[in-house]
Amino acid sequence: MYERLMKLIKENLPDKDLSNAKPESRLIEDLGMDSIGMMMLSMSIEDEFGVTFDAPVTFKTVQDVLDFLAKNATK
Amino acid sequence: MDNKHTIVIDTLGSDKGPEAIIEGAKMVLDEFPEINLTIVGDEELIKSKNLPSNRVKIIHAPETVTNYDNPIEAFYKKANVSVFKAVEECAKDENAIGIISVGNTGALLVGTLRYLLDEKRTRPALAAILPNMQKGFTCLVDTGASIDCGPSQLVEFAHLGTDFMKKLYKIENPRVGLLSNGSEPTKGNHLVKETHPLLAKEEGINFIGNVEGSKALSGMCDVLVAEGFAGNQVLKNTEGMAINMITEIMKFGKKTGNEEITQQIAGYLMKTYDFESLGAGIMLGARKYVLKCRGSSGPVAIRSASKILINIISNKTFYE
Repeated sequence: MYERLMKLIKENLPDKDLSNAKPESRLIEDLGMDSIGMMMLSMSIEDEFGVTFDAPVTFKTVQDVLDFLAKNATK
Repeated sequence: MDNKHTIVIDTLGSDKGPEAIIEGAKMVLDEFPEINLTIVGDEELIKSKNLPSNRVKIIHAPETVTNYDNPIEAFYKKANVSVFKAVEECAKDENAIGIISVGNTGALLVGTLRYLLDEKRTRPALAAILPNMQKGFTCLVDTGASIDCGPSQLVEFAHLGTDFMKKLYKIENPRVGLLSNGSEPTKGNHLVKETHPLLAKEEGINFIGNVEGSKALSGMCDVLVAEGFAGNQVLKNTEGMAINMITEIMKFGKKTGNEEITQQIAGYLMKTYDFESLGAGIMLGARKYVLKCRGSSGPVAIRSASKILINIISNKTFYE
């Protein structure tokens, strides 16, 4: 699941070197995601993992996303 | 309603109020009998204008996204926002060729992301099509949809602008410039310096190098690529300078008793550079045409933007 998620993050951050990214990396402060990027990432996550967001995503770290997916992913 | 091409118009968000936008919609109906409209906003107000029901569909969505709202939060928390409903309708209606909105740019971007992303999931860019000194037009991209960008995003903008100018202006190999503070490849901030070599080797891009702000509308390039922050400055400065120049010409005419001739000159310049006549910016990278008029737009801008869409489907150029 981690690799699948990092692939989506990389697609949204093509200019960033994510080789040192870790589960505790913060999406905005450490990886450089902006608000539109977060929205596009949430849409990619919906498609990839079969989840639905009915509110703006408030994930702080990669681990937050993984925790959410562990509970809610359907594929 | 028959199967005519349809334009979706979001009536909320103009400084001049929804009446001005509905008046623009009425102009479109009068001038272009081949077009139907879907008008989104306050249903009671729209109905009170007695528009022809066989050509107009009304969608009630009286809420707006203000400049103090976070557009992404508004998307989830407000149920009846006109711009979101309008983009959704544009996506769903097979006959809809595009949407025209004067509302919050961020909200229009969020709506486009949610409902009208293309298959490649391109991050949309807001382009302005500006008259240049060689009697042609220059596509300035981005003008504010992405304030901060990375180099690969600017390369993506170059492709979006190139595709647009090929399709709309029939330019076989559009010349692409990169906005910088000097024409030499060594000039520019980190972003420009990193982007320059990428554009130079990018397949399908006819890169002519860095272009200074003073040459932005010289006609030396057909597509001018910039991050949203810088592109927006070029756009607003150009408009501000045009207004200043026209005002000074009018003052000079009054002072020297040459008002008749200076009014003619000012009229010509206003027609050439007036954003009401030019209509709208266009969101590139969407599945359908998303046109953004300025917040101070009135009826003429709605008519001009509609004409742009009609030109597109008629295989004419943007401002023909």
